[in-house]
Amino acid sequence: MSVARTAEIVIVGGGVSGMACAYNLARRGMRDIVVLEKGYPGVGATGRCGGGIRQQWGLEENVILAHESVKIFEHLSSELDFNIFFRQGGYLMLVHDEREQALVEETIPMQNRLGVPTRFLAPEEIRGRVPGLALDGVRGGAFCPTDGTAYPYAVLWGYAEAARRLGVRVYLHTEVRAVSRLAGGGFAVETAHETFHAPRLLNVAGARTRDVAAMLGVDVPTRPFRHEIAVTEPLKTFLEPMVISVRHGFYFSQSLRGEVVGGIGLDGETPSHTSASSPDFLFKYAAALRRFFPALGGARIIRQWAGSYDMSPDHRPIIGGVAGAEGYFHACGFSGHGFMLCPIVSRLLAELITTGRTSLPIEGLSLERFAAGELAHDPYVVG
Amino acid sequence: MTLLEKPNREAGAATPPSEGDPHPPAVRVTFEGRTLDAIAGETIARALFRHGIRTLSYSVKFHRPRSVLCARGRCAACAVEADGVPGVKACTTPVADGMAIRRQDYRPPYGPLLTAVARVARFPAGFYYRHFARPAWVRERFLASLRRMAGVGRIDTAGPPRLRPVGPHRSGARLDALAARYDVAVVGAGLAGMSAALAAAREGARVLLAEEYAFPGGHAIGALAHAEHAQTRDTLCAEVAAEPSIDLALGVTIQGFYPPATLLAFAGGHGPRDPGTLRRLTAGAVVLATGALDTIPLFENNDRPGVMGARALRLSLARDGLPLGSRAAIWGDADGVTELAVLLRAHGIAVAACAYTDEPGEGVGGVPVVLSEAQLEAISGREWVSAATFATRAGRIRVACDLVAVAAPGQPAFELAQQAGFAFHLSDGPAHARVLVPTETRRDVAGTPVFLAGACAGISGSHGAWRERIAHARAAGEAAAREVRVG
Amino acid sequence: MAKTIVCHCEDITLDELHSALAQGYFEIESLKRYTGIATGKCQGKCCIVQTLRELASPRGSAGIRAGLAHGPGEPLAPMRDEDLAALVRIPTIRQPVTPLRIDDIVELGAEEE
Repeated sequence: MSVARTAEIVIVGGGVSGMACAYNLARRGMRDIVVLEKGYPGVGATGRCGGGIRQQWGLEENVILAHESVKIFEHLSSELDFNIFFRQGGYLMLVHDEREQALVEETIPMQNRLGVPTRFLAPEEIRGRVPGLALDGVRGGAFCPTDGTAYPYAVLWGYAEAARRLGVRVYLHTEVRAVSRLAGGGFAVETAHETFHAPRLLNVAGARTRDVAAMLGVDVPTRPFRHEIAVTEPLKTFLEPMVISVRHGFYFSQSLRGEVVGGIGLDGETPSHTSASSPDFLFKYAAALRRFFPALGGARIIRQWAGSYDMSPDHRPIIGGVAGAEGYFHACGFSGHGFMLCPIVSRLLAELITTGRTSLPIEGLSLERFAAGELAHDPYVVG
Repeated sequence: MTLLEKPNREAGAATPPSEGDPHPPAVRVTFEGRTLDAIAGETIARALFRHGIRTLSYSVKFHRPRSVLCARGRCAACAVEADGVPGVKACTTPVADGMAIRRQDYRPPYGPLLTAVARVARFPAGFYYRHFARPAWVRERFLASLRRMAGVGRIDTAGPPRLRPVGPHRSGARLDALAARYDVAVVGAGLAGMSAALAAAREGARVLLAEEYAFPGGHAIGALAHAEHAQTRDTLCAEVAAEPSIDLALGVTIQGFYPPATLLAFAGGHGPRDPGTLRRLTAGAVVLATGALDTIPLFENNDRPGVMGARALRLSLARDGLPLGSRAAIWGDADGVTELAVLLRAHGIAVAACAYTDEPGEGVGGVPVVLSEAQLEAISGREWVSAATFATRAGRIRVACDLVAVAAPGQPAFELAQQAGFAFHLSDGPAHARVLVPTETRRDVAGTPVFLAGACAGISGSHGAWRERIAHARAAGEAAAREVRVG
Repeated sequence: MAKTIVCHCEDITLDELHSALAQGYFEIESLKRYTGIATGKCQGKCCIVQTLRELASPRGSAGIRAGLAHGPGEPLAPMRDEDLAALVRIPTIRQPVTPLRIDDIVELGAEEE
C-alpha cells in the first residue's frame, strides 16, 4: 500500500446526502474534501426514491426541519445553476376516520404556526382539486400547497457538479473497506486502491451507515427495510398534488414526465438490503391505485423497483457527532425521508462540522437519545 | 398438448394468414375520421399500409417519421390510439369492426416553426438540466411548458369508473388451463425452446412451453434458405403438439421472473377490446429461450421507416402479409443476406442490391448490384426510405430501393435473463456485429436451476448455428428435467 | 448534417450521446437518465446495445476519459482498460417485460385471494 492521501474530511457515501454535505462544506470554505461512493451516483436510495418533499409532520421539530428544507428547495435550481425540477404541487394527506381527523385538527394549527400553510379540505374541495380521486371512505384531507416533488437524480447531479466545481474530489466505484482511528487523532479510511487520512469523517452511507459506524465501534440502531415502488407510462398531466394515505401506507404522484410514481407498504417485511421486486407488491399497489383513482385502470405499469428505507427506532433521523468519537459525524435513519431533508440536513452538518454549532437545534436527533429513552414518534410516516 | 388448438384470431395476436380463416370477413374501421375497408384479423398496420398510410407516428423531439420497426410489439414506434386507448401497437393488434384509429405523437411538438428548427438543430445533452435553471420566472415557465408537452394518454378523470367486462375472458381461458406448478418451464417456442421442451418431456418432466406469438417456431417462420432448416422447424412443431407432457401455451408472454421460482404469465391485452389476463405460476427449473431482437446499426437516418431487421421482416411478411415495398437492398453477412433474399423473393419483393459486410460466398443469383466489404452509411428519403448509400473499397455506392433489409446479428433478449441474475458483456468483433451475450448459460437462482438456450444464450454466428442451438437446448432441457427429479 | 438516432423512443442522437460522455456522464445508469436513452416506451430494448457499442468504441473511450473532470464523479484509480470494459454493462432492467395494464394486474390479485 502506498503512502496515504490526506484530506480535511472524508465523506463516506456519494448519494444526495454526501454530495449535498460536500457542497455545503466547500461553500463554507473547507478545502480537501473527499467523497467516496461505493457504486455509481444514485445506486442507493437516492436513485430509487419517489422524490417527495413534504412539510406535513406531526412533531414540531420535524415540521421545522422540513420547512427549512423546502425553503432551500425553492431556490436550489438557481443556487446550483442546474434544474432540479422542483414542483410545488402540494401534498394531500387523506383522512379516513375520526382518529385521523382529530390528529389533523391538532397538527394543522401547529404547522400553520410554524409557517406551513396546510389546511383541511372537505371532500367537495378535494373533488375540485383532484378530480378523479375516489372519495368513499374519505372524510377529507390535509392539503399543503407548498409541498412538492423534485427529480432525485437532478438534485444529486446538481449538488455533485457544484461540489466538484468548488474543488471537492468525488470518487466513484470506491468502497470503504475499513475505518480505524489514527494514533494522533483522526481516521484512516481504507479502500481497494488507496488509504485516506483525515481529521474528520462524515458517515452518510444511507442504509450502510450502520455498517461503516460499526467499523469504528459505534452502534447505530438502524435497520434496512425494503420498500417497493412502481411507475406507469407517461400520461398527459392530470394530477397536481402527491396523494398519501397514511392508513394504507400508500402514496402516488405524477412526475414532470407524466408518469405516475407510487408505492405501498407490504406486510411482513423483515430487515434486509434486498432490492428485488415482488409480484405481491404489483398486485397490492395496482389494487390501491385503482381503488383510489379508478380512471387509472387503463394505464400501464412499465417498471417496478425497490430500495431501502434506513429505519431508526423512532423513525426520526440520527444526526450529529457521537460522544467520545471526536471528528466523527453521521446522518442516517431517515426512514424514507432523507431526500426531502437533505438540503437542510447537509447545511446543518456543514455548520456543525466547521463551527461546532448549528443554526437550528438538532440535539434531539442525536444518537444518544436512544440510550436516554427519550423517543417521540411522528404519526405521519408513510410506507 | 396445445392449449390453443387454433390461433383465435378474434382474441389473439396477429396470426399467419395460412393458419386462419381462408375467407376472413371484411370489416370497416375509421382512421382519423375516414372510413377504411379492412379484413377481420389483419393487423392495424396492414390495414393502414394497404390504404397507403405508412407513417404511423412522429418522434418526440425532431418530428421524424416512424413506422413499423420491430413488428413484435416491443419498440413502440408503431403505437397508435385505437378506440380512445393510447399506445396500441399497430404491428401486432388486429383490427375489429368499427375500430376508431388515430395517430398519437403526430403533431409538431413545439408548433410548426420551432419544430422545423428542431429538425435541423443540434441538441446538446443535458439540455433540460443546464438551460433555463435561472432566473426563477424563466425556470417556472420552462417547467410548465415541459409539463404541458409531456405524456401521451389522456386520463378521463370526469368519466364514470371504467368497468371491466365480467366473466371468463377469451384470453383468460388460455391461462385457466395452465397448472400452478410445472417441473420445467420453457419460455419461448422457437427451435431451441421446442427442443428443450421435448428433451425435458422425454425425461419425464411436466413441461410448460410458453410462447408469446400465436404460433410456434419463433423467428424461423416463413421461407427459409435451406430445406433441412424448414423441415426441422416443421417436425419440431408437430412433435411438440403431439407430446402429452408439454403444455404449449401460445399467445402467452412471461412478463416477469421473480426469483426463486415465480413466473408471471400474461395472455391477451392485444388492443382495446382484448382485456389481458395474468397468472402466477412456479416451476422447478426454468429454461429461457427468448430469442433475439434485431439490431439496426448506427448510420445517418438509421431511423427512417423502411429499414428493418431480419426478424421484423419475417414477422411482417410471413405472419402479417404487410405490403412493405417492391425493391429491396439487403445488407449483412453472407448467410444472413441469403436468408433474406429467399424470404423477400418468396413475397414478391425484388432484390436490387446485396451489400455484404464480408465476401459474398455462394451469393444470391440475379441481383444487379453486389457489393463486398460494404458498410451501410446513410439512408435517403423523407417519409420512407428511397435509397441506401453503402461505403465500399470502391467508394460510395447509392442504391435506389424502397426497403432496406438488415441482416445484423440479433441481440439476445435479455430481460428475463437479467431478472434471473445473468450478467452480460459485449462480444468482440466489428462494431455492427457486437452484441451483449451472457457470461454463462446456466445459474442457480436460490435453488432453482435456470438455463439459457438458443439465440438468447448468445449462440450465434453463421447459418449452421441453428443446429448448434438445438443441440445445446436439448442438453439444457435434459439437465433441467433431471435436476428437478433429483432435487 | 443528417442525424444518427441512438434511441428511437426518446429521439436521442449519436452526437448527444458523445456530448454526455464529454460532460462526465459515463456511468450507464447516469448516462441513460441524463440523456433519456432507454427511458422511453421500449425501455431500452432497441437502443441499449447501440449505446454500449459506442461506449466501447475508441471514440467512446476517448470521450469517457476526457469527461472525467466533469459530471458527478470519477473513479479513484486511473481508468484502465478493464475499468472501461466494466462500464459497458446493461442497466438494471426490472419486471414487467412489457407494460401491464392496472386493470389486468388487479384481476389477478383479486382471483388469487
